[in-house]
Amino acid sequence: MKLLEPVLIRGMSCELGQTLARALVAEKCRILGISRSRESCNRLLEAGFEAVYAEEPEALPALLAGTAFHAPRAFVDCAHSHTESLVAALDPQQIDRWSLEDIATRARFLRTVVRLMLPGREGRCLFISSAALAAPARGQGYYAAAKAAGEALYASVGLEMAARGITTCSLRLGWMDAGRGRTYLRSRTAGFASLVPTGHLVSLDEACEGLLYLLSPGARSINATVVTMDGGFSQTKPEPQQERTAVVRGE
Amino acid sequence: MVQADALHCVCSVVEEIFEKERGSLSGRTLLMQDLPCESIDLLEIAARISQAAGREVNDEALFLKSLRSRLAEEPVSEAESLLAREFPWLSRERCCEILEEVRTPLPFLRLQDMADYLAFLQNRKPSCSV
Repeated sequence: MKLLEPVLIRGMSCELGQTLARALVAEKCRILGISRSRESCNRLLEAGFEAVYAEEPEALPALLAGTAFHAPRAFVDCAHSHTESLVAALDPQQIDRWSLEDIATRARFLRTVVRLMLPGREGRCLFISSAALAAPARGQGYYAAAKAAGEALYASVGLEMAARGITTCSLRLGWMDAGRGRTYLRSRTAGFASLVPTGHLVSLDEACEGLLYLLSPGARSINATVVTMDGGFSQTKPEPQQERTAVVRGE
Repeated sequence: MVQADALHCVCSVVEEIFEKERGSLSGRTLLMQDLPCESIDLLEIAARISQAAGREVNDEALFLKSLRSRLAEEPVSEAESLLAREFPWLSRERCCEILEEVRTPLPFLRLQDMADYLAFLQNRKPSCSV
């Protein structure tokens, strides 16, 4: 598959990020992980990936000067919030830190990458969002709000920059048997997969194949919008099956 | 970066974006008056100059965005010293010219202003006497 590259990946140390990175390498794409901590940067380097440590997004142009990545044609933002708390329970200082790290920093990275793409007048920016945005579980309010902000930023960039060849898309992923989703799903005994019309949770391979398509030139018209990959779960109506059965029997 | 190189860089970027012939623009070209420049063009100019410079330029400084509002905040008697202090890449002659030009609401930014900022940024010292 022909893909837009070189690719910058933010938040590449997560399971989805690394799986995507391997899939891109298999497609002969040049990829570079961008880390905001030295630890995650070292993990990526140890795993055999190219990566840079950039605490400040605005440092990227100087860090990438003279490399192919100074003119990226694709950017995937996999970074996500670790803030999980009931909305009214979070400490005010933690709220400030959340807004800085999960909203402002994302906007600054997007701004920086778009400016790197502009001279080439071609680029594709993808944001990994979550179905939790529309239906957050208790404690996911901040996570959902950060995803909503991210989607809004990416949509606006897609509208503002499309005339200069830069398009965007957010991929809203449903329950995944990977990363933090795996932890959540395995902590509960209910058969989540049976609630999904496809009968299975979104797999890493499915998510990666969807992302590869969205990084292909043929997907550029999917711009300033959100693609949902959740097996159709978000379109289902809640059905309390046990109670319904009891009523039927009662009749 | 010497000022001639900086001016060549700025003119080349602007000519390319507005599809003008090479050498058709000069330091005296008024960016917002002589060209059909919109906000997205400013963004692309800044991005291309940043790429050429190998470092991010400050859009506010490059386009003298806050100059007019800063002047409005200070007494007229302080105008020259304000320009010298906050926009040290502008020559004294250019500052005097700008003080005349801002009397009208027309945009005053010239490509030479941008080139002087770029040279200043690269050399990290005033590129002209103030």
